[in-house]
Amino acid sequence: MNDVVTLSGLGVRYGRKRVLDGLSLSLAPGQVTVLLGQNGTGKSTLMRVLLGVMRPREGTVRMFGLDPLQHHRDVLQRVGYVPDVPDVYPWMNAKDLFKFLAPQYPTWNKGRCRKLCKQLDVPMKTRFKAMSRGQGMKTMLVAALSSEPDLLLLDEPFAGLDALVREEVLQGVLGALKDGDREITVLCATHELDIAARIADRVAVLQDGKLHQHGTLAEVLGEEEPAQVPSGLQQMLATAAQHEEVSV
Amino acid sequence: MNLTLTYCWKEWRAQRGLLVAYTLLVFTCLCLGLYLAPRHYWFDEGFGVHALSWFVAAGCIGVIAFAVPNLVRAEFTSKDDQFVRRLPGALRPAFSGKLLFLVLVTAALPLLGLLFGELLVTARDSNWDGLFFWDWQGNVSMQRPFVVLAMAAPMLLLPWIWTVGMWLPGGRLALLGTTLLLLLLGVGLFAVMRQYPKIEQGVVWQSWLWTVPLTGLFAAAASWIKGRRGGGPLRSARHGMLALLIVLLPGAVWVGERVWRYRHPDMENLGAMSVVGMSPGGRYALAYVVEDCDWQAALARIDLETGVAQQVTEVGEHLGPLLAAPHRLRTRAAQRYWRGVEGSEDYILDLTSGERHTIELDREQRAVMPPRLATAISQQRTGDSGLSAPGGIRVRCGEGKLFFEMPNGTVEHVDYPFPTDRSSYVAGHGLRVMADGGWRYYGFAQRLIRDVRDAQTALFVGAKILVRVKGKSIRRSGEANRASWVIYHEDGEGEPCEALRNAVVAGLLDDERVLAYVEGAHREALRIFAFNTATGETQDVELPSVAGRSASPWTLRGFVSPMRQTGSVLPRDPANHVWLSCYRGGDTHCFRLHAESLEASGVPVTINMFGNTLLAWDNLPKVVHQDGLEIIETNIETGARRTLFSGAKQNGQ
Repeated sequence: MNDVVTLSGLGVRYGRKRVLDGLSLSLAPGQVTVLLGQNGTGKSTLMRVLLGVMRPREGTVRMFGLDPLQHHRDVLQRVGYVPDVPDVYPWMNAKDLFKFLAPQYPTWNKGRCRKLCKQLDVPMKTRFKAMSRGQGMKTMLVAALSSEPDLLLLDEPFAGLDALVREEVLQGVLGALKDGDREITVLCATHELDIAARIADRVAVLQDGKLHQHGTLAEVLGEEEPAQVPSGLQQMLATAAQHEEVSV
Repeated sequence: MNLTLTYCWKEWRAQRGLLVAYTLLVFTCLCLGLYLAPRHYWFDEGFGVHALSWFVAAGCIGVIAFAVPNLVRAEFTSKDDQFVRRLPGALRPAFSGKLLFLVLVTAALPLLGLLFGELLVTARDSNWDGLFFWDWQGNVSMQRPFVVLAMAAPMLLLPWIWTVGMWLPGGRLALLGTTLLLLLLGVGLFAVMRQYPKIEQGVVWQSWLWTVPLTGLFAAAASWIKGRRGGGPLRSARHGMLALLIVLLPGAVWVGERVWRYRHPDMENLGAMSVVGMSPGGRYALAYVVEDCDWQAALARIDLETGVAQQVTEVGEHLGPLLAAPHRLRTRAAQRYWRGVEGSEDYILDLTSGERHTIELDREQRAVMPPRLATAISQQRTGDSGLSAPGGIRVRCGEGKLFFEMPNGTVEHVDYPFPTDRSSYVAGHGLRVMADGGWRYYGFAQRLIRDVRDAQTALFVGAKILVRVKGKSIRRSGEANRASWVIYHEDGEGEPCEALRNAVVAGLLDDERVLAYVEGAHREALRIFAFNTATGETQDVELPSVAGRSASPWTLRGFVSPMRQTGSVLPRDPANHVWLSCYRGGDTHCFRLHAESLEASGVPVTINMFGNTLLAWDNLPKVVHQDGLEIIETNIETGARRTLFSGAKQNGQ
């Protein structure tokens, strides 16, 4: 089966700083991969590369077998994206946003949009500049899921949300994964391991711009020698392991 | 198209609040202002046209200052524009949507202004008939209101405002940035125009105005579609600048080619030529050449044997025959050495060999020349100077002195009588110079400065001075010259010279005789005659009739000499003929007048003030003369012509 995303030897720099360094990663269809890593390890940069917003300096990117920079429309019509912060024009409200996005996605599902809006209690007439962070994130999630994407990219969507809203958003994501016959591939960047434990099929650990580990959460936890793991990540993994035990 | 409309709607949705507020506020204020303004005759007369023009201008300002900068205001940093960049297809439909919005708003706001204005004008029971006016012949022309015209330039720059807005961190800086860009380009352009005066002459720039918005759109497309793909305003600026360079390149190449032609005139395609010097022997000519008549000229050395011209100075630089002919006296037709300055370097051009000698200046800014060159220049100075005193005494000047070469071979010298920085002029057997608000005269025979007060002009004839004491130098048409002449003898006694009453003296024929003529009301020479100052006798000159031309009197333009050479006596060709240039209506003709017998004959050469100059007559019967853009050798006996050099564009080229 063809992988949805194939990254090979990906290198990105900001000036002299190397953010991604020879990153190679494949996402199989229908899998939920959680991208783990501390702040500044290149998770958001990887998302930007996948969205065709940033041009990598080295390596190749293939999404659905296509280069997202060359075939931007063909690729991005099949991708849903939720940023870490709502980046929509501040004067827009949810109604404007959906009206603006609908013609851009041939697969836009108005019914699903309405359903999700109702489910997540999205304020339709509030401008983004007046929305709370939680309201904004829920609106962005609805916008990302309404196009019925084959690939869902989540860039730390739960960061900074209060527990209730966080759970609402998470339920929205999980609901989308279960909803319908379509197989959705998800790449979720986060540093919250409890989220990873709840949704991840596979975990990719980014460290210093390189793919440090890639496998199931159990594989990652089993392979890692505690002494070799950076202290922050070690703590994160330990927290995740506890959460997994609780969940099991 | 669907996405274009979607993005266009997005722009409208983003800007509608601002545009509606602007429109309502400004148009309402204008309505109120114009309604309440006191009526004066100057205000009321063309009220309709003015009101409409102000409304249209307000609409244009709305487009320029608000709608266009706002096209990118929400997407001005690399983070802000990520939303639009990550949408499918992203930048192309976004660009076309913005462009569509720009076109619509550019049409809509001024038209809305027109509508508001028309409503106001109608409400005031006025009209805008003043937009058109009729002259007494019935021709209808349009009065173009200056307010609307003033808006035309920024309206042309709309795509550039949009483009610059994409380059800068904030659409608010778009107007300022465009102004700066315009200034930058203007400075470059004006630098070229200042360096090469009138280089723009003949360019119909109005017909190229359409390129301004079109190139702006090209740069905008490059800045947005290419520039924003994986980058922010900086990448936009890089791509936009590259696009700007690409669109400027053809213009720059065109300007460069024009500058090249300005600096290096094509010798076979000249616009104007003026020969200013000939080398001794007449092989080489020195001429100002220029490809376009309005441009600055360069000097070229023309080989009249081969017909090849070679540029010897930069444009705008000059060469002067000062070393060989001091005090700006033009008493020699041929000059071998010419002095020039290039930058801070003084040099001497040898017109015969084409060599250029750099010279140093001493503390008093006098030229210090290499010995060989100094000797050569000195030898040239000691040749025929054109100045003479009665009794066969040759006079020459140089090195701050006047030299008198006596017939017995001795040479006497005196200090040059006038300041050496003043231009000197020949006055018969003497010199004159303008000093202390009037002319001062120096006679070679007396070797004294003569104070000739109240003189209109004067010239020395041997030891005598012929002074015109009355008569206008510049006459009004129809007024005859009522000149009175007084002749002062050696003893200082003066007496009226009745023979020269109302006459103009052209110059000396020899040590005693002057050539004079009396003009009619229209400057026609009613009588040409020689006057002997020793005997008081006169001898009339009769110009021969020219076949096929009327017998009415010619107007005497003056005497003709190679390179407008002057001398103590009138310059003459090797066969002792003085040449006269005459005209009648639009007809110009040359006559040769034998200096002894005063017999006159026609010459088949046209000499006038308009590029037809006599260059050399040493090889009679062949003479060399400039005829427009050509240098011609004419046999004055047979009339046969041979082109020595042609700067005119050849047929078929």
